[in-house]
Amino acid sequence: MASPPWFDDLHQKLLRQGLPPDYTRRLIGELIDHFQDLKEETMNTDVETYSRLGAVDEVAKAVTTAYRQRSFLGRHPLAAFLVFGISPVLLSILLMPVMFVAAYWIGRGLGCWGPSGVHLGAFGRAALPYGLTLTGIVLPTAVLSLLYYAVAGRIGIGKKWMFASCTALALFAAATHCQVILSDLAGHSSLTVGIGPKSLMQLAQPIVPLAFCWWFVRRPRTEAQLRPTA
Amino acid sequence: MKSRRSNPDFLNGVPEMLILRLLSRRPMYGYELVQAIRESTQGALEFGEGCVYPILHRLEADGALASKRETVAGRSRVVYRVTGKGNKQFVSTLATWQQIVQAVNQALQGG
Repeated sequence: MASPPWFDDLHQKLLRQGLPPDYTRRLIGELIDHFQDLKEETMNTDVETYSRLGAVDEVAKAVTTAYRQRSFLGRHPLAAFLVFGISPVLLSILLMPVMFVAAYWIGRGLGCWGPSGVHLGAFGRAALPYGLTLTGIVLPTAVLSLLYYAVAGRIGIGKKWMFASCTALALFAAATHCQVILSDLAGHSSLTVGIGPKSLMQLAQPIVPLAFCWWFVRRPRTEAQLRPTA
Repeated sequence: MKSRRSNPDFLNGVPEMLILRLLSRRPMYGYELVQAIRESTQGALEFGEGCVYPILHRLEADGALASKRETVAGRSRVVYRVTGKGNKQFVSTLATWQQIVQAVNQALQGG
């Protein structure tokens, strides 16, 4: 059935709060049943019947609060802060060496370097710092942004924590730099990773998490998600 | 739209206790349950009826309630019933509630 504005309004508010579409559809379905029962029994006008259901904001707040209380993280803001504010940075720190080691072995497999030294042309040498930054800093923070978004959406914990994780990842990406020194002599090349301002390229490093952050918070819901199935 | 009067925050947990009690008598769907709350409390509790569903869903997620779609009076409804865990939760909540009521009454009567 076509859903009246009260239900559409509630549905949109719940989706904007980051509640899962499956859950909001179920809730709206039950509220529509309730509305029909009220109409049949009381013969009230629509306005009176909606008033019995409650104000949209009141119901939306009750739904959001109850949904968040389902999860441990929803009930404990400090734990949510540790998970969404701190752990993305810790995971990035753990992932970075893994990615650098993977890049080393891939490069070695491709014959770019090996025990006899570096075998890269001028372009390869110029592109390598960018490639390593992309692999060790930009890619992990981007993947983690997506992962944390998915987790926050799954437990319906709300956009502020999605925003927190993306911001933490963006700050980490902006603060981290890597420097490569290539030598033709075997064993004389080096890779240094550190925290702090080193190059202008660092300004571009948080673009992916920040873009995700902006998209997560601002992205419009599709029409299919906004329309309740009753 | 006219806004409804809602009960104050100190009633946190009371709707859950009432819901568990009423559903332990017999399974009900949302609308029936709201009517049962209204009748059993003689309308003392004021709430937007839509606010009952998130409580039902949370209790269900906690395992205190189970729901099943059934046909009642020719219409498909989500019917809720209390589980064993829900019964235990009710007993525990009721005991706490009675202690609090007793303590508050004593304090108010100056005892």
